[in-house]
Amino acid sequence: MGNAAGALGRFVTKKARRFNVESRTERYLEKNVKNPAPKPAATQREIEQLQREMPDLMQKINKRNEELLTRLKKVYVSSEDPPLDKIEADANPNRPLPLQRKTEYLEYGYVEPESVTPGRLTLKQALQLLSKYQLDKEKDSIKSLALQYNLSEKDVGNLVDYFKVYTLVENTVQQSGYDVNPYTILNDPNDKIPINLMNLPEETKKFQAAVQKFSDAATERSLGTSENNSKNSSQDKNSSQDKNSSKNN
Amino acid sequence: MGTLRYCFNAAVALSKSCHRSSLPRKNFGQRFNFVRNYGSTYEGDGKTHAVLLNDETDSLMISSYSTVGFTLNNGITLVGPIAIFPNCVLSWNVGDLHHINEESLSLFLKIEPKLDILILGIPEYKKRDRKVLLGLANLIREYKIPVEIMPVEIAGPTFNFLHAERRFVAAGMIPPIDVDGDSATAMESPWKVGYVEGK
Repeated sequence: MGNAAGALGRFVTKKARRFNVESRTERYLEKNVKNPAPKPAATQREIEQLQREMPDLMQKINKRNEELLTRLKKVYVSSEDPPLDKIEADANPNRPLPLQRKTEYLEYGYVEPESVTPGRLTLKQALQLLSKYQLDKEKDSIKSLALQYNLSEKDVGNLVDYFKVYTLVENTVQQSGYDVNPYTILNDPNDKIPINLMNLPEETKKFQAAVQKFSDAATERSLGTSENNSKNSSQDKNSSQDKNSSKNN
Repeated sequence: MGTLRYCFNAAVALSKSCHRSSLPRKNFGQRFNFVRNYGSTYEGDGKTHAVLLNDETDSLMISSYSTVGFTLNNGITLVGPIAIFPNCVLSWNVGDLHHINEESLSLFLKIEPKLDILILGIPEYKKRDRKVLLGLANLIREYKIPVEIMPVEIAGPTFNFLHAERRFVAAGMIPPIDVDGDSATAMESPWKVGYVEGK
């Protein structure tokens, strides 16, 4: 209660203080009065004493001294740069200054380290490892790769299991016309299908079959979730079937 | 006077009961805002022009996403989850948030030199997944790698911008479950990043 009353009081006094403040300021500014602050008592006393001793002091101070003004006109300052040879001599030849400010292009976005800590690997090495394993799993087995790259077998197993090098497939994605999340396939723990479409057309056939299998499952799942979704998905399913049938023909 | 005091007391009591801290916060549990206000950089017709980094650079950036995968700025479409590094991209064999663990993150954690920042783009998560997310962030921070876990929809531009700044950045991204509320189609949304310049 006290707080509220205080706030109310403050509100009222503030309004009263600022009543008609703009016109009051204008009026004050129009008067154009300059009230300089009074000097300290000691200074005041000193000034009075000086004026008593030398009555023409103020006149002397306010008068322009022509002699002093002309003196500055006679002064001329000139400077010279130090010789350039000296600067070159000072530079350390072991640590030359950069000539270009542009940074160099890095192949994988990092500076290749001179030595790699055991148990770790650079991005370049990782790419080599994965592509080697994918090309020939028997020659470059997990064991031999672990020895080659100074890694533990468990780490190599994880790398190979979870990361794969992409293979380029031209236009197959657009042609196949499937509409299902491919990672639902990867989701399934029983049959992980690596999306490696290098060996066409067998791999694509396998992939498309898997997509067909899981598209049914996906539509069933979405049918279960809600009515709106089910309508959409059923329509999509029909359209996808149309596409597939047209392709088969 | 009595009635006035009664009214005043009532008003104070009401204001106390409806204090902001006691109200349920809007969007509680949803940590990320999708829309950002960048202020007005636009100066006028002919005075400003936009520079699209996806088109300008000679390095890899992600231009769009769909429920199937991601499209890079060189026109290549990648199917499934991806692990993207500066100038190289790998397929990432994970299904969803619950498949991301120390083993599936092995490459991000074991890489030398250490990553400047790791971005994880996750398709959709529920309120109950917050504990998983926190555990994941703590796990990655144990390796002293700064990590940013965010929805895929905003992870892509973040990666693009960080890559444009020439940082050693990596991103693990899982395609979204639905784009614009449609779960089945592979509708593409642009992910181009850029900046606006005065003339």
